[in-house]
Amino acid sequence: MPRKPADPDRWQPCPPGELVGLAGRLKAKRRRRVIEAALATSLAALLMVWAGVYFGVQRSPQPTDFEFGGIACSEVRPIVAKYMSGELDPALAARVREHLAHCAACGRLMEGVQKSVSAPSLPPRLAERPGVAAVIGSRPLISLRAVALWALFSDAAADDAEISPAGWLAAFADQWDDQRWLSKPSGYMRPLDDEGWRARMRAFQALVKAGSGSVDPLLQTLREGTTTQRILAAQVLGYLGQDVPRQALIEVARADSDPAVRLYAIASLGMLGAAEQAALLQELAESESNRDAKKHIAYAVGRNGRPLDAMVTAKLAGWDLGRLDTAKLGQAAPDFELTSLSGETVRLSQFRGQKAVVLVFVYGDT
Amino acid sequence: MRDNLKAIEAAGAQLLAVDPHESWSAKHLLQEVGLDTADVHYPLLSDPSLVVSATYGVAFQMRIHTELSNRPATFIVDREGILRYERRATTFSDRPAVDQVLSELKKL
Repeated sequence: MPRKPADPDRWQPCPPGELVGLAGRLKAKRRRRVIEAALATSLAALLMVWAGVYFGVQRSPQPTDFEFGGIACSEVRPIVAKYMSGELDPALAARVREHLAHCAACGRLMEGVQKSVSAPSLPPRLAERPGVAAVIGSRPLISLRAVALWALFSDAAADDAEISPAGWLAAFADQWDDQRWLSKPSGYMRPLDDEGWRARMRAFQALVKAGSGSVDPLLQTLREGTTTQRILAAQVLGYLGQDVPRQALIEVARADSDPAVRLYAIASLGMLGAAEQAALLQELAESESNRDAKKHIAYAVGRNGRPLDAMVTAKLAGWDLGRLDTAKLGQAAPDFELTSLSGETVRLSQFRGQKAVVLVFVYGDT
Repeated sequence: MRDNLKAIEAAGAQLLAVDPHESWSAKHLLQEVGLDTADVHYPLLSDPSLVVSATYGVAFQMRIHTELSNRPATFIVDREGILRYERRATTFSDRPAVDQVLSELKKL
């Protein structure tokens, strides 16, 4: 069930929950998952977290209750501490995890508590995750919120399938700050320490991986999402092939107020195979005012109806997220296999023992 | 570009370029400027799934006009497959001069 996009200004803390009723349920649910086990802190720490949450709620003048992940703030608050220590059963933990991924208010409360877990207590699998080291390195103590986010996105933590497409879109929007560009306006570049692109790649892969299950939430995002979300939604739909109704993309390509959304809707129409849409593309070309979107119409025409190679989608869906950002100086360069313009398959490792390689990533002008 | 390529080859290295677009898109671009794929004398590799771009930490980090693309970056991998040099652009035109690349290759 798709949800409305998060508007951070609307978030407000929740009312105090009914702790007693949940206590019985919690007792029965003991076994924990690998990551959650690692989040265990001392009982004293738990009580502090609990107390922090409780008093944080007490101060709240106008409590609001949101439901995410099929569980409301008022239900999540009392069991956050148990969640952090991995004492919830997997099904309930998954709902709490999804709730926390979306709920800025609950996240802020956790952050406010700032009961820190020191880096060495992280489990090796989590500590080795790309990006985690950077978080740990940047400060001696890592907040529970940060650990929870990493746990959320760690493949060791849980099956990503537990997060709905709408959940991925919300998590992406939460972490992609569209103001975060180093230089403007001709060459926009994210700062070197940007985390937003990782969230974008995770969401991009998860949404493509979910296949037909992503289509409806993405279409709803195209209608109701923020510009940032609509751009991602329009881009992902191009990878989903036959399940995507063309008409929705056509409407977006015609009428969306943002040129980047139109550009990706056009590109995705092309990726879906647009031979029969030559007239439509012609019509779009006449009404389109943005130079880049216009160029993408020309590309879509130039495909002559050739759809995206299904292998591309398969490669993305099957990619190991653990490889994200793993090219590090002094370490083995991550191997890869790609096809060249002339159709030749090239592996980085084929040059090993023979030649050094100068590897250049280009942006490929639009 | 041709001279730069020759200099890199003379230094015993292989140049590989990675473009995030589908290969026909690069062909289309080449045609627009009056070139053919035969005019590209090094492997121009296509990464439309973005998995290699993400592995090397460059995906989604540049906006070229309206489209999101890869942050330009140059890496040097030695004969043993170890990553020895990296330059990740922080501006549109931030890239090493060929002399810099050659001097890095000499250090290997």
